[in-house]
Amino acid sequence: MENTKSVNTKKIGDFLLNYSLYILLGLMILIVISINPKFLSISNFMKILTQASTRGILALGAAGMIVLAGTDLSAGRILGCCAALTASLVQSVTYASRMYPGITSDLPVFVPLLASIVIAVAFCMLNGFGVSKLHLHAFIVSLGTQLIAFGCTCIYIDSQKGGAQALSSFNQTFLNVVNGGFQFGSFTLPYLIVYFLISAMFMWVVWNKTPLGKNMFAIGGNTEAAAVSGVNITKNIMGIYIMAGVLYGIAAFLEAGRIQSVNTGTGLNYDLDAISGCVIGGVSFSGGVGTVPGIVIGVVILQTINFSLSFLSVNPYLQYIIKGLIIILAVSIDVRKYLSKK
Amino acid sequence: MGSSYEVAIPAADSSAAGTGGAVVLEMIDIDKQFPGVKALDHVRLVLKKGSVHSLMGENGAGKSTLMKCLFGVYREDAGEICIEGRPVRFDNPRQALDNGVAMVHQELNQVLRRSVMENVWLGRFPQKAGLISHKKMYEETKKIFDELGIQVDPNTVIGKLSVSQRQMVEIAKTVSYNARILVLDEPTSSLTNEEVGHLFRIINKLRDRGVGIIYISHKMEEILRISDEVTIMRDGQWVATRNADGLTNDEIIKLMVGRDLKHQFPENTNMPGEVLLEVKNLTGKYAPTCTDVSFSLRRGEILGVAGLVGSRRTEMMETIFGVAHRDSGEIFLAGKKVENKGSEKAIKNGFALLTEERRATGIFPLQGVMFNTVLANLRAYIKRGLLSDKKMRSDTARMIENMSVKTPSQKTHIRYLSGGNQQKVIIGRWLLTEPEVLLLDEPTRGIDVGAKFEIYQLIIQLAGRGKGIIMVSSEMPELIGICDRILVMSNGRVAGILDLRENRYENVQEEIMRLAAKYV
Amino acid sequence: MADSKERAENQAIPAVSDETVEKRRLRDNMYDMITISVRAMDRIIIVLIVLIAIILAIGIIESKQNDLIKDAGQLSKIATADGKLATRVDRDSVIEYL
Repeated sequence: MENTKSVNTKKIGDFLLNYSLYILLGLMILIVISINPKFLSISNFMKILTQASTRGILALGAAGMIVLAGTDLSAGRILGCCAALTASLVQSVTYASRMYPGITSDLPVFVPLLASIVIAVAFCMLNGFGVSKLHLHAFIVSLGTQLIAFGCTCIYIDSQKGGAQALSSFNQTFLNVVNGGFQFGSFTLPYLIVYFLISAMFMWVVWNKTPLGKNMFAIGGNTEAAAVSGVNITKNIMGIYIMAGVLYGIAAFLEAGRIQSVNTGTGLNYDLDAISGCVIGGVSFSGGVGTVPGIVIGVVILQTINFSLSFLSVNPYLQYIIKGLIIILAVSIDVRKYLSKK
Repeated sequence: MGSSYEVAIPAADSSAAGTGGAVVLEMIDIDKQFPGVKALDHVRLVLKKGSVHSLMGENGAGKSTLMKCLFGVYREDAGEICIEGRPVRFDNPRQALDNGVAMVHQELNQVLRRSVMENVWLGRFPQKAGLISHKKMYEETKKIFDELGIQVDPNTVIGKLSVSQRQMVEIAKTVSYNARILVLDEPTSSLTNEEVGHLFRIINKLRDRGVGIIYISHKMEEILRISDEVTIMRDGQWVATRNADGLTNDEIIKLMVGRDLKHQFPENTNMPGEVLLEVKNLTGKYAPTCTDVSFSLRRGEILGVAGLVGSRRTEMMETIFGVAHRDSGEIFLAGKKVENKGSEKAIKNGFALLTEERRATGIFPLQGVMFNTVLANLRAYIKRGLLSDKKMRSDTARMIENMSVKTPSQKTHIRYLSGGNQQKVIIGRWLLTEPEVLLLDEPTRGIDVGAKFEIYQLIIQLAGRGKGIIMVSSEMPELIGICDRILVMSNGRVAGILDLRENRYENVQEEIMRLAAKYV
Repeated sequence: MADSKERAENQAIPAVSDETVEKRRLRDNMYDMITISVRAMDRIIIVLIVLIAIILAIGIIESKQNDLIKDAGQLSKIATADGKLATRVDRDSVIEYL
């Protein structure tokens, strides 16, 4: 019948458009492989996952804010600040111009980790306070916090005896903890990937199996209904922000070890990557919607795009444009899904 | 049609007036399915040129869904829409408007700070040599107003006009679009009798010019006055189309409700017991709010709360529940003083508040039935630090059964459920918290007749189990039908309490209206 | 039973008690009336995809040109993790540091 035929084409059309991002990515990878077959290798795949790990942990934190129908533009600078703190505490004791010459033996690794988390949580609590108590929009508050964090980072790095210089030359223990991996014969599984997966699993439990998670979706989905139904809005919002702080702290700690040199520019625009990863992964900006597996996939997809574009040596300016278009595409698909549910 | 800015007011075409005219709109066998809910089932509507065709039905009957299909807001699953014989399908209301199909909503979307004429010509301002010509705009607007007999100066800021005048401007706007089909959605809900008269004069003028008008309303008096034909819908289905001539109120009611009016309310044989709740001199903190409210509530009692718009009934409920700040006064539950400082505390103390607007403050639209059911009771599901899916599922299943919620599964997104089922889910949410006192704010608003009956049964059952129920409602029959006593509020104060069990009133409704107007 | 006339008269105007509620109702109505149709959205998405494909093609072709030029002694730039632009010496070492 005429009708079923057009309904079928409609269904195929819908499918193509709703999944066009993934199809596009698949095609892109095929193109890359055809141009340079060396792209398809386990080591490249591992590289992508490793590079996605710290960004992913950051994204898992920022996602909470997006589900709450807000956003967080300060994630990157907070990471930068905490990475600087971490870096200053893990410099090799044999490095003459280290920040704290008074430290003569390697600090236990959990010390810089804890310090990083504490500072990150402090910044996030600042954001959380502004949003929950002062009822400011998350966008504005995080804009302010972003600058505060950046200022702190600059002051901190500047306070070195030898003047402002990049923090580097980390001790081997720290570097092993961050950049090492599990050996399976000739195959190495980087610890970073494992840390990422553990963080993801932990967040999945929080989002799906704790009152905090359910309350987060409730507040993001309909704040007034949540307020009437016994959800303590202030406490829960603060809880989500603190969780984000913990993740930011961990991400900063790991990132310092991954890039092995921290300066005032570290962390710039990381939040955009985090937010993009979330959007691609299906977290809706209107709030109340999002899944942890989605975020993981979104972040990996984003990093794959980054990697493959650089693999092809595409002009980095063009890379920015392409990434920007992809984000607009991801949001458009989201809107379309909403519209076609009419 | 000349330049698109010249208004071609349809010439008087009296041959098309009345019921014998040509067909301008046909909606044939329209189906619309939402997951789990069939919103429209083979619905048909035939609108004649130059006639007024009323569309009636209880809330949830499908009237607005049908209109949304016409305007392209929804896409119908099956059926055809034909305008003047040609099949059409619009992608959005703007397209419909450009094709001569217009709607005047209950909530007028006007730019309040701009002038009347700017609102009329929004997006297509008359121009002269590339610049907007205010003179031309004024003249064109005045032309339409004069034809329709509208006494409004096109230069006035539209926000300064009364609702009735703003509505007329909206209608004039549709004329400027040469609308052949006009849908009026509850046009008289905010109008005085005189303004209704004026509106009807305009409708008659439009009718004389061959415009086909779909008139959606609950007010039977007006419908019989203005319509040529009446279509009645019930539960998503077309029930009947009749000529308005010779149609009676009772017949309409019977067709709309589908059952004998006498059995609209279940029997309430509860015997209220001891005093459960005492409210003394309750005054809210931030105006507008309730003032010096005192009453008591017994176990097993259903206390209705009546009053006009603005009598602050909702504010009183919110103050008792604690989501609105209290300035002074005391609340005693079973003799013990309670401080409901916020919803968390209120729930712990055994209170529940069903809010007035479930779409705005009740449901979580992006979540499923289970989420919406268990949200207020999460504490009860924590087992070893984590939420127990098993327990949540079983509680939800229990609620679905007890409340007879029609839903395909626990995971169904709640916005696909009908209003009545949504309301039941929210009531279920509250019941899981095992409250002693239930504060229900307009519990049956926007719900179809069948579900209303079920909710009445539920309320009576709950009372029978010893709970105390306070029910705000704007529907007199409902209040009189199931309440034991009715508290009437006026301008934030208690105007009086009518005890329906103890006393026989001559005319309860008049009593209520009298009390409601006491402090206004 | 309530006479329909009384019923009609006593039908209270739907109360809008709260500014939040009013805003929400208007917002919901607005969403219902999102003026962009699914079809228009489809077109936008297709345009975006085509745009991405075109720019991608430009980027790949350009990089191939640069590959040829590099052999003649010129360098091209690659972005690294800290936002700086490093002159490309060896593509492989760059993708290590994304």
